[in-house]
Amino acid sequence: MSLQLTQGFINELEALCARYPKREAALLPALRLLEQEFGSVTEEGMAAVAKRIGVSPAKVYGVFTFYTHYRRPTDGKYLLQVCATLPCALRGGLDLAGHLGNRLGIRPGETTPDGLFTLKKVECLANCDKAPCLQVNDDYVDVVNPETADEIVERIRSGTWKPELPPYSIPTTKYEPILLKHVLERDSFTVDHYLARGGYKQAERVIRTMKPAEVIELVKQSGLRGRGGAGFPTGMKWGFVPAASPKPKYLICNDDESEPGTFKDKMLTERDPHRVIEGILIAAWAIQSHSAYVYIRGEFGYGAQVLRRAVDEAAAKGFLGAKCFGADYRLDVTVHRGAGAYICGEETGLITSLEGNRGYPKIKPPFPAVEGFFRSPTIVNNVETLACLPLILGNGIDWFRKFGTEKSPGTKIFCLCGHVQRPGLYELPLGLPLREMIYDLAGGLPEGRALKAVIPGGSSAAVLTVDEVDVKMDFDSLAAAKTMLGSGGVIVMDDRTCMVEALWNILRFYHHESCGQCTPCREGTGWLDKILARLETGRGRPEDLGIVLEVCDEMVGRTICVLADAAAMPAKSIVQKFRPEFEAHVAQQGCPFKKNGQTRTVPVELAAENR
Amino acid sequence: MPKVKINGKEVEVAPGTLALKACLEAGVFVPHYCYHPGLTPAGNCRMCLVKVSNSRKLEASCMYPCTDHLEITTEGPDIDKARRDVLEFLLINHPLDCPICDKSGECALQDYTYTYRRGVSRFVEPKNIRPTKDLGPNIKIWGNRCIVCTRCVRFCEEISGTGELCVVNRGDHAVVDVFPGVPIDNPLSLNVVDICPVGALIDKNFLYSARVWFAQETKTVCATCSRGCNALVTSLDGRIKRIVARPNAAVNQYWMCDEGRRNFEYVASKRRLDSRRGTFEEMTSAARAIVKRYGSGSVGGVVSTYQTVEEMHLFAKLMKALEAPAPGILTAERGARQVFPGGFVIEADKTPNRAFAVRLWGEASVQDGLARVVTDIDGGRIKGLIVLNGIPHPPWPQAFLAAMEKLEFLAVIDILQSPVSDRASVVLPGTAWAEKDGVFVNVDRRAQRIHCVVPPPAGARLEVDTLQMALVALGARQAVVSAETVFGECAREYSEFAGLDYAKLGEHGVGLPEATESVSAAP
Repeated sequence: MSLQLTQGFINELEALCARYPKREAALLPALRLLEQEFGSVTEEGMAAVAKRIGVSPAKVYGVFTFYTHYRRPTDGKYLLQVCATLPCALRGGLDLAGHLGNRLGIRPGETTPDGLFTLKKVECLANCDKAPCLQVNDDYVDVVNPETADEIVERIRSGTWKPELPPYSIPTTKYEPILLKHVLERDSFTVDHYLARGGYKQAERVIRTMKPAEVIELVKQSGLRGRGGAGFPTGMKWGFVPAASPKPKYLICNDDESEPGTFKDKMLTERDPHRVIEGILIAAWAIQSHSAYVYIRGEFGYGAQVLRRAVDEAAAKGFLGAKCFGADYRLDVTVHRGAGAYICGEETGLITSLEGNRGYPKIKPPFPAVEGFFRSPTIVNNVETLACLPLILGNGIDWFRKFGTEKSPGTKIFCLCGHVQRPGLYELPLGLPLREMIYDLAGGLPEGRALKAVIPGGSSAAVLTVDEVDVKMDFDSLAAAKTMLGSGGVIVMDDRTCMVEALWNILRFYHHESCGQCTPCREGTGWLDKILARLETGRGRPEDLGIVLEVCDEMVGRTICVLADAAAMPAKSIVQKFRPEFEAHVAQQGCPFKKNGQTRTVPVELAAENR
Repeated sequence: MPKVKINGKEVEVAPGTLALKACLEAGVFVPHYCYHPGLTPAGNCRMCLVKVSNSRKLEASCMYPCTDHLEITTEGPDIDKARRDVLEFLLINHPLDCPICDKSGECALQDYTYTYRRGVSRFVEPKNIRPTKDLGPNIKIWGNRCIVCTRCVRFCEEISGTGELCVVNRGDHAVVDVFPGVPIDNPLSLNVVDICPVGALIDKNFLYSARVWFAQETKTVCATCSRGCNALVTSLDGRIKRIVARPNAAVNQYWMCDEGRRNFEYVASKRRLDSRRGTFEEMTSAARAIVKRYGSGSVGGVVSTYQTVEEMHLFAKLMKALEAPAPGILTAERGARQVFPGGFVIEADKTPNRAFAVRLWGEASVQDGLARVVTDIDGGRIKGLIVLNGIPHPPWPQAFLAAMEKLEFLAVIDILQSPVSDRASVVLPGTAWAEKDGVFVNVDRRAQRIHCVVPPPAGARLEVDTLQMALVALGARQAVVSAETVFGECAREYSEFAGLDYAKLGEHGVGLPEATESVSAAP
C-alpha cells in the first residue's frame, strides 16, 4: 500500500498545511486534493496523505468515513445526487430519485455497471427554492422534472453534457432588499463591481480610524443578532473574546449552510462574496484576528471557487494580506471546504472539523470566544451576519434599527420554500407576520390547496399550524410561540401533505446527520426514524405515538450539542399538533394520503413498489 | 482550594477538578462509560449526568469543572431517569448476547442495567448490524456491542501514541475500527480490552477460556520487567487464564504491557521441572564436603534477580553458611527502556527484583553478572555451585555453560528444564512467580507484594522452604517458617524495610527509603 505522490501534489499539500496553525487542519482539503488528483479518495491515497501530514492513517480513515461528500473509489464518473430532504421532497424530490433509479436500473447508493453513474440520495443541498434539485458532481441543476432528468442522463451518455450555472432569481416585493440588493446584477461577484458600489470603504475606515473596542460597541448598539440560527447578539459575542489573551484570535465565517429549508448564504457567497469578505475584515479587526477561515459546506463547490477568487482579488487590491489597506494590520483569509456533514454548521462541530477531525461538537463552556480553534479565542459568525456589517458601519445604527423590531433589528433573509407559489429568498424587516409572507409575498399556496403547516425557521424548529400563522417573524415572537426563527428557512406544507411522512423525512435527516457522539442522539435519532418508517408504511401501533414523544423528551437537553433537540422539536410538535393523522395511520395500517393517491413525499422504495 | 458540596456533604477539591472525579474521590459513585481517569474526558456517553447548582440542565459530571460553592447532586428521580434512559438507548442496538459474551460478569452495561433496573425496552425495531472482525493479532471487535465511548481510541492516541484505532462512520453506524491493513499492534495494545467498558474489544487469547464468575482473581505484581506493574491475575482450576492491569499511580497508572499479560504461558509449560533429582540434604552434604576438602570459597552460588526479597535474603544466608564468595547474579536485559507518550514505561531489565540484589551484593556485583563465577570455576577456585533461578528463559552465557563441565558438584533450584539443570546432580524444582508469596523491589525502589495465584507442580517446593531446610541442615537456622515470617526477619535486618510487614505493604506497595547501612559485601 504505497502511493507515490507527485511533487506538484506535495507542493499543494504543503501550501495547504501552511495555511493552518497545525498541519492536521489541512486534512479535509487534503482529501479534496486526492479527489482531484486521483478521481476519488482511495486507501492508498489516505495512507500517503496521513504520512505526509504526520497523522495516523486511522485518523484519516475516521475523518474520511465521517463525511459523506468525498468521492469513493466505487463511485461512477457522474454522481447524480438527488436532494431527498423535506423541501425538495415536498416538490417531488423523492419521485425524481425514484425516476432516475428506474431509468438507470440502479438503487440509490449503487453505480451503473458501465461505471458512468452513481445515484445518491443526499440531504438538503440548500437550493430549496429550485426544488426538486439535483447535483451532478459539483454542479447544481435546478427544478428537475423526470423529462429534464432523462435529458441529463442522455446528454451524459452521449458526451454532450455541459454543466451550466443555473440562473439566479429573487422574487420582488414591496420591501426593498438591502443585503440582496445587488446579487442579480451582472458581475456582482467581482471586486470591481463591489468597489463601484462603494465596497470596502467601511472596512478601510474601521481599520484606519476605529479602535476594536469601538467597533464592538457599535455593533452591540446596533442590536445585530446572529443570522445562523441561535440569534445571539453579535457584538456581545465579540465582547467575550479576551482582548488581553496572548493567544492568536481567529474569526470563522460559518458558510456551512445546511439547515433544511435554508438557502440564503449560498446566494450571498456566490453573488456578493466581497460583501462577506468586507464583513470578515470588520469582524476580524474588532477581535484583532489575523487569520480568518471561511468554512464553506462541501456541496458548495462553485461557491468555494467564487470565494477563493474574491479573496485573491481582495488580496491583489491590498485589502487582505500583510498590510490591509496599507495599514499596519495583517489578515489572511482561507476558504476551507467541508465535506458533507450538517453538524459542522454547529459552531463547535465546525471548529473541530476545521481542526481536521470528525465534526464532533464540544461541550460549552468553554465557549469558542474564549477557547475555540486550537484552543485559542475564536468567533464564529454566519455569512449573513457578516454581510450585515458593512451596511451597519456605512449607514449607522439608527438606519439599521429602522428595520425590524426593537429586540430584533435589521432585515432578515427568509427562505420560503415548499408549497408556495413563489418560493425564494425574501429579505424582509424582522417582525412581519408569517401570514403576510406566505400569502402576500410568496403568492400563497398553489391553486386549490390550503395551508396545513409551516416550519418557520429551518427543520429544527417546531411546526406551526394554520391557526398559528399570524405570529410575527422575529426572534422573540417565535420563541413565545414555542418555536424559533432559526436560520429563516420557512417550509410551507399544504393540505395534501402527509405529516407522518413529513416527520419521517425530517427524522431521517437528523438520523443521517447525528455525529454519533452522545448516546441519546446517536440512538434516539435512529430509533425515531425507524418508528416513523413503520408508522408511515402501515406497521404502526397505537403505543408508538407515546413512545415517540417519550424518546424526544429523553433526548432533549441531554447531549453535548443541540442536534438531539433539533430532531425532537419538530417531532414533538408535529405529533402533538397532528395527532389524529398519526392515529389514522395506525388505525388504517397505512398512509391515508397514499391511498388517496395524493402524496408527493413518496420515498423511492415505495414509489418503486407502487409502479 | 474550591469547596464543593456533593449530595450535601462539603469536600475540598483541587482547582479545576472535574465533578465526576471529585465525586469518585469523595466515595460517591457516579456511573460512567466514556470517562476513564487515565484519559482526557470525552463527555459522550451521558451516563454520568448529575445536577449541579449552576445549571438548569443535567450536566455530564465528567466534563464539569468544580468551582467554589458548586453543589453537586448525584441521585434523584430525574437523574435516575436520565440514566435509565441512556441505558435503554445504549441497549437498543446492542445484541444482548451476554450468554456468549466474554465480558459477561464484568460488563458495565450489565452492571448499570442491573443497578437501574432497566429490564424492559420499548424498542421493537430491527437492530443495526456492525461487523465482528479482527483488529489485530491480539484483539477482535464485536461491533454490535460497541457503545462508541472512544476510550480505546483515546488510549491509542494519548497513552501508547500509536493511533491505530479510530471511529468510522457516523451516527448509530459509528463503530471503532482500524485503517484497512494497519492492525492495532503495539506493546500496549491489550489495554484497550481492559478499558472497554463493554464486550466490544476482546483479547483473543482469553476468548471463551473462562467465565469470570467461576474464575479467581488475585491481586499481584507483574514480574516481566523491573517496573513491577500492578496486575490482576484471573485463574481457573489452578491455571492462569489472563493477566490484566491493576491501577497504581506510583508504578503503572492504569496500564500494563502485552508482554506482561502474556508472561504466564511458561507457568504451565511442559518443560516445567516437576520431579526432584536428589534432595536438599544431598545438596548441603555435598557442598559441605567440598568446603571441607577445598576450603573456604570453594562452593559458589548463582542467584537470579527474579527471586523474591525473602529468597535472596535466605540465599545470602546459605552462601554465608557455606563460606561462599558473593554469588554470580543472573539478570536479563533486553532492548531499550521504552517510554510511551502517556508516561508508561517498559524497563529494559526483564527481571522484577534487581534492586534488592543490588542492595545485598552491590551494583558492581550485579553488573558483573556471572563473569567472576566463571573465572573462579575456570581457575579451579570454585568446585561446587548452587544455582537459584526463577527467570523463565534465562540468557545463560556460553562461557558459563562451558564452565559447568569443570564443576565437581552442581545443584540447581529452577523452574524450567535447561542446559544447566541437565548438567546438575541435584535438581530441586522451584516455583514460578505466580506460585508463591513474596516481595519484589521495583526499579523505583518500591517494595510490592506478589501473591500465590496457582499451586506449583507436584514435585516443586517453595524456594524459601528449600533454602531454609538447607540452612537448618547446615545448622545455620533453627526452623522453617513462612515467607511472611522470613520477610519479618528482613524487616529487622535491612533498614529500608524497618517496620514493614506484608499487611503494611498492602495492595499498592511502599516506596522504600535509602538503605542506611552500607551494602553488605561478600563475607
